[in-house]
Amino acid sequence: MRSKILATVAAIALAIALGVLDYLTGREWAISAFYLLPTCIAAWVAGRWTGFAVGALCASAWFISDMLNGATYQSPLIPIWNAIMLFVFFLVVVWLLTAFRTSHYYLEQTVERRTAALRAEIEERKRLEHSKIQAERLALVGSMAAQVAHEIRNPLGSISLNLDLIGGELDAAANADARSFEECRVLLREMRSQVVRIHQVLQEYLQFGRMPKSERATLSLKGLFEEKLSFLQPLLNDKHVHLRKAFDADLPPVLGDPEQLWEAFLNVIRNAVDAMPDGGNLTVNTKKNGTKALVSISDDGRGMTSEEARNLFVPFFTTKSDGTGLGLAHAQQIVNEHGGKIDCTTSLGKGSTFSIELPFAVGCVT
Amino acid sequence: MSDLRNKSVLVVDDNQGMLRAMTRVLSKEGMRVTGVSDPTVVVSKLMESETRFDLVITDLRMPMFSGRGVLALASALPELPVIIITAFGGPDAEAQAIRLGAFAFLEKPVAAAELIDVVKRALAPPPLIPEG
Repeated sequence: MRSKILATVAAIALAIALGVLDYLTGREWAISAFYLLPTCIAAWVAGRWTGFAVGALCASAWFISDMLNGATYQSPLIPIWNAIMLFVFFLVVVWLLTAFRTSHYYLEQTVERRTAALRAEIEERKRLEHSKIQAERLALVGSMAAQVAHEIRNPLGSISLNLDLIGGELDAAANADARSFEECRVLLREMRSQVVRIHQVLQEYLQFGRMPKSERATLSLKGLFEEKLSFLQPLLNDKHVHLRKAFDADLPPVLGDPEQLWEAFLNVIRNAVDAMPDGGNLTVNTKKNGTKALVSISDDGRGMTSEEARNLFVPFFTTKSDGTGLGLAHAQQIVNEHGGKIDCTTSLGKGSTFSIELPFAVGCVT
Repeated sequence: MSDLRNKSVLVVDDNQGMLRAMTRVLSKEGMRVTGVSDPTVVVSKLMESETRFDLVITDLRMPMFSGRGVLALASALPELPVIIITAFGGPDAEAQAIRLGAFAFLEKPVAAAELIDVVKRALAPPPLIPEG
């Protein structure tokens, strides 16, 4: 408001000063174009009607200075007509200027409003994204807690009943019955195996929850398999599983953490062995596939239904009564971390093949 | 309370340790226990077995064939009480199990005395309804 008044006063003063200057310079010097300056200042700062008023004042100042200079015209109406023309010209200029100013003002307002809306939307999206991640985390923690509870309550149920049985046996042992002691030993062994089960389940959950920092080195897949598979042989013999191996000796090395990669392969191999409860053939192959190393682990076990195959890598999905459903999910996690991918093809009643692709170590592709 | 001796019970639990422990507890009471860890054979056990079971005790969440399936199967056989014993407890699961006709709903871990007590109540003859 203050700036409007100041601009109006300045415009009036300028108009009067120009009138005086116009009078002093006489009729030969044309300075009437300068009257635009106060008119435009008043219109731009104080608005359309003030602009019109200052425009009228300028036309009047021009007319008065013209009269005082003693101009003579053929008709006394000519100077009045000229003053009106000047005023109309000012009117048009003020009109256009204020129209431009208004649209400029609205444009600015719109840009500001839209920018604010956009900012709010970005903030809202960020908030939603954050709360979605939070909700997903909570859901995972919830489903993990339910799974942990189930896995732990089963062995605890067994331990609890066995403890009650031992209590009964100890009461009987008060009569120095040797059979009771033997019974107690059996029950304690049973409880020990259930404690081991609890420990294993917790280990698997912990491993899945936090993957240790990998220590990567260039490694030969053939060397890794040759070394580690020998430890598995007794278990395979026990399960009547025949192992077939075919390793590409010229396969370039891959970059990876040998322990983590073996963990992934072992989970897949365990899955294959479990799919062959009556024994069968386990095949482990490595070969070159473009710029990747391809590891295939196949069994000729019972295969999977399409639903089982679809949920294969979903955490907590299992078809085994003593499975946590984390083995293959963990294997996938490790392979992905190594920049590779894991897939499975299966045929119900005929067996499954897991394909694991791993990139070669940089500079090792021939 | 009823006498458990020579009563026949079918116990279904995919957790081997739990199955062995329940089998031991019930056998000590003199019951004839048939333990099944593969829930898919429950159908054949219930329908084709020579033994006529007096009671079924089953886990709720098992792969392939859940305790609800066992419950539905057992409900086809009148006067065969079913006790659910589960690691996935909670009021919802309990309400659903009872609605489906379970005699009782127990949460693991359960004490031997509690298990025996529930089994005794399940096998108790129905109370005589006074005439008139």
